[in-house]
Amino acid sequence: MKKDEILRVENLKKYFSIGKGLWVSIFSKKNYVRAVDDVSFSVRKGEILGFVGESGCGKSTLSRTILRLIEPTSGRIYFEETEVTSLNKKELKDLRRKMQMIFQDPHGTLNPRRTVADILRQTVRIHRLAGSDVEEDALIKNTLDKVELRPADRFWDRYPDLLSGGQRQRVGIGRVLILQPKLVIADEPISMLDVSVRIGILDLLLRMKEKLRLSLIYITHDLSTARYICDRIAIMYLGKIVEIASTEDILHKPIHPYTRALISAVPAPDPTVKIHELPIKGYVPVTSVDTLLGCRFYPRCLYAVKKCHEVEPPMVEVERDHYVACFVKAKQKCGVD
Amino acid sequence: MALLDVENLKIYYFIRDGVVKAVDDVSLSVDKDETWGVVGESGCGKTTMVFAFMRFVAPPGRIVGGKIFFDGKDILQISNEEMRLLRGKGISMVFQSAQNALNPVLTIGKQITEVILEHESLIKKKAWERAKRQLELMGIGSERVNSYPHELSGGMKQRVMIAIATVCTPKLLILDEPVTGLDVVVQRQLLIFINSLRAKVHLPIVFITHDLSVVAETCDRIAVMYAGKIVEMADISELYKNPMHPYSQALIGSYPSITGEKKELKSIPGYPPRLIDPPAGCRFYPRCPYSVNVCRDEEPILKEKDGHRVACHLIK
Repeated sequence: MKKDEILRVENLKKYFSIGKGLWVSIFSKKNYVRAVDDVSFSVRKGEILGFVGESGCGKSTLSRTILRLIEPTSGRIYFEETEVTSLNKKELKDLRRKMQMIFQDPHGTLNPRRTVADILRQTVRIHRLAGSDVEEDALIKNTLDKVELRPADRFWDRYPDLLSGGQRQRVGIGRVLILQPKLVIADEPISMLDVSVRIGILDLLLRMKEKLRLSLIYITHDLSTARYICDRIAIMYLGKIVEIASTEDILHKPIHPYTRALISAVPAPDPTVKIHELPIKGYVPVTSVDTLLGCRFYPRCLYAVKKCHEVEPPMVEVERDHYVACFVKAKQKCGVD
Repeated sequence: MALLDVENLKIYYFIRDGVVKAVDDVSLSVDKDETWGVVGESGCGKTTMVFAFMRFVAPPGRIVGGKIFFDGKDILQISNEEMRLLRGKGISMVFQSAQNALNPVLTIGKQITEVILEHESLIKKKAWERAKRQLELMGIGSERVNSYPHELSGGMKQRVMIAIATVCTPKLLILDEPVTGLDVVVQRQLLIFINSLRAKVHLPIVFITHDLSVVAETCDRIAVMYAGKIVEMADISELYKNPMHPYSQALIGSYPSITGEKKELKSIPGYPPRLIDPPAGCRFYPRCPYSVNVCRDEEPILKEKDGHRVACHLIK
């Protein structure tokens, strides 16, 4: 593990078997959905790494597997110096204090029968963060202030029902920040919020990152918000990272054909830009059961050659810190196979 | 005479806690061959408004005032039977989330022919042929006519919904958040499709969305709604170039873009009001950076200025 890294993921795999009943599972080959397939990356200290992909590409499974909310099929996860996959339950609890998650649906993740203060209090108690009641209250108040639910008294006794979506998401973020984590995984934190409050939440995350020197993994389907907050972006397609580079490189010098298609699909908030056809064929296959050899993007790719169908393309560093998994484009770029 | 003329429409929901003024005094007119985008955040009343065009408003909601003229007829006055014939043939609607709007136990062919048989005196066999042609037109392929909805992807289901809505060649099509919840690539494919459909059959469309960037590429004119009111109407390029209402400005300013310079984005402070007791005066004033005293006391009306219609006291 390098010095400036906080998280390192190596060859992580998560396969879900598709149940077909006992009889079939004994007598035939098992079928799997390869939700996350051999994914490796690292998160540097103080950076925001974005994972962008369409639904079903495995980005949410990936985030849950890193926290071991889902057990990985194989692979290794290093957080600081700890190897996460081998921890027992108690060690895992301590670790989760440092590694936290913000969920997509702020309504579904807050207990409707607890007040805002109680929701935060529960976290404080589970992790024994405060010695006395006074200390506890001070900590909660301070956290509400951090997530800009001000004045804290106004929100103290409110139930989640009486909060707007943006306010609820702030409570969700508060519940994470109160633990002073080092790494936060935000899984589509704004996709269910109103447009006018989205930027407010992203700005809050950015400020928290600066102030508390957090590292963040930001999971989204939306390249434009990823551009707004991410330092680096990884593009995922059907369980694989196909390209990973700095945000500006991904947007201005995209290499993988899928990245290019994804970028040109983003609607421009500008009526002078005319709608154009996409450099992509067909649709995402409905299930990603492993029938495909070679590159997973091959059936939709406009540049595919025979080799793409036969061998899986490895990740190649085509430029400094710019990795891509594509035979054709990598060859054009560096002239090697 | 415009194809659709909405005058001072008011739709209120009468619930236990009081009266929710979901649509409050809204006027809009849609000409033939015109595509309107209605943009606003969730809860601003945009879906409730178009539900009234189809006369779908159900208790506790009630249309308490206003008129809706379609093709010269006041559709709030006609009989239920007349209205039933108008739906699908006159005005057609594609509902939000095709996933739930299709019947899971009927094949898509059956669901398309159902509409044809309702409106036209065709024998079943002819109706099936028409359904197949319609599917071809939607780029789905006629062999799918016997598929069930669960066998189709999200983008295809949305196209089937559009197929059902347009099979009887309506005069006006309403699309309620047609691309929300779809992946960007599928979303783009569907927008291209809607554009090509528009070019082929010259269908006026009312396009409801919360996403400004989606309407930028498809619509001619835009109405921006906030808390039950239309606050600004203008041509699409005008609105983007020169938004006049502070809410339109804020909405456009809060959109991240992947092209061009990375710009500083501003969020709009505060939250949309609860429509059960909306602020008196201008409904946007508690969040407005430019508000003055008069905004608090007096409700602004829509005024004409440089091709825009804006409801703001600051526009002189």
